[in-house]
Amino acid sequence: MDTIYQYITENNLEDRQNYMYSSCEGPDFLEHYEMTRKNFCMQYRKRKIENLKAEDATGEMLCNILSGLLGNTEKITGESAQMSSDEWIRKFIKSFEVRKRIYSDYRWEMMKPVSGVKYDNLNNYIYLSYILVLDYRKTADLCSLNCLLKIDDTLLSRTEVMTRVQKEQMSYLLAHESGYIEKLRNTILNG
Amino acid sequence: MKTLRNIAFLAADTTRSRAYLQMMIKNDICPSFILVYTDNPDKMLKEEQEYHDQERDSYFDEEQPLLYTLKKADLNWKTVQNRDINSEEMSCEIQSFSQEYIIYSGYGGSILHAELFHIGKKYLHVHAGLLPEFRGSTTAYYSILNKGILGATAIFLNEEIDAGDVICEKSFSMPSDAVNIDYVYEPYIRAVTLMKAVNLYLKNGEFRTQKQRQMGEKTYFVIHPVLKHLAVLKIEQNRENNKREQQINEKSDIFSKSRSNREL
Repeated sequence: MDTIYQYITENNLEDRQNYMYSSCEGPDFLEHYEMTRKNFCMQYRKRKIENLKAEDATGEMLCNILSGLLGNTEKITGESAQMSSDEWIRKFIKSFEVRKRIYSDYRWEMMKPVSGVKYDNLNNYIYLSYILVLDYRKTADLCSLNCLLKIDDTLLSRTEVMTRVQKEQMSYLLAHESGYIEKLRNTILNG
Repeated sequence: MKTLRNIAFLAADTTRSRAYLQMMIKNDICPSFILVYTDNPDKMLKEEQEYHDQERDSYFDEEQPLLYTLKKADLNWKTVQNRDINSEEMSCEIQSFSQEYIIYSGYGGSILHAELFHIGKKYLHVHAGLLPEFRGSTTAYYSILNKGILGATAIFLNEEIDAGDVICEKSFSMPSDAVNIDYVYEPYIRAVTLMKAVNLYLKNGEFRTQKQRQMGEKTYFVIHPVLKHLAVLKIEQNRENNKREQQINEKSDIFSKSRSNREL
């Protein structure tokens, strides 16, 4: 089956998708979307994201937010403590939606990437994806689900450079994402 | 046709501008000056020459070229070959307007730079969402998914995105036919809301505005195609439900008529 789901390129980090004026492809589109997720999930067992390990400044920030959401820490600590985790999540959503990348370090007050830093640390994408999975479960905020879909498209475009562990974590995240979409679809179909 | 003496229209070559212009003309109202800006005036001219007018049973004629509409209505207009609203040339053009108010219909994604707010003009923009709940991009789809309705708000632009003072707003039900949202229904609801704003201006002799509420505001970003398809699915489902309801009502009407006939 030729896919009409065209939002996973060879590398979404370079061939950035803007999703603007995307065409309506009819009812088959949602089936094709689902296949991109199911095909991946069938290949890899689902691994929960645990033992968070930050590899750069952004990783530290994301791990901090995640720990807060998972209830592992009393409160957000360090540089991120000046804002609530919800405010940080909105900042990360905005930054990713605008740039379609997660940089390894930012000028945090303005959330602007530090000049010349990398944006290919897939663990940061996995952490933000997980944050959005948890946030959507809690808030049902479509902003979070929207960003989650885009991050997961990006991750799916980078599977060839992923480790086995990352692929299994990805499988866990995609199962959640597609579950949310299925639930929304069923709500629409059943009134 | 009534001419709006203190209102100009700044129109990019888009379907939204077509909707605005056709809606105003249909209501016998026109801005006193229209500036069309485009990077390709030749293309606009060619479209105008090749267009064949015909009755279309639609919200507006999205095929009708801007130049055709302008010429047919014999309006006061000018074209500038420039697509960049923030360019020096466009800034000079806007400054030269004698009108204080400008109905703004720009190219998608272009945001007015700060300088344009310091030249004594007020930009009337219609946002396709109820404010402040639905700020940002593609909010028509988010509104369908979240609330099952669409909305539009006429505001005066300021330097913040979708945060300007509100002139009026209007809610719309989901379309009852298989209309394209991006290119027809959304421009249409904006045009209807623009007319509401213009009619209020004519009635009151001025634009009366109010500040946006400072709670519940949220900024949305371009909708992912999966969510967009779910929104379209919701419109189709709503249409099916309405059709079914109508059939049930018709059957029940027939049943009550035949019962009352029997009783007679």
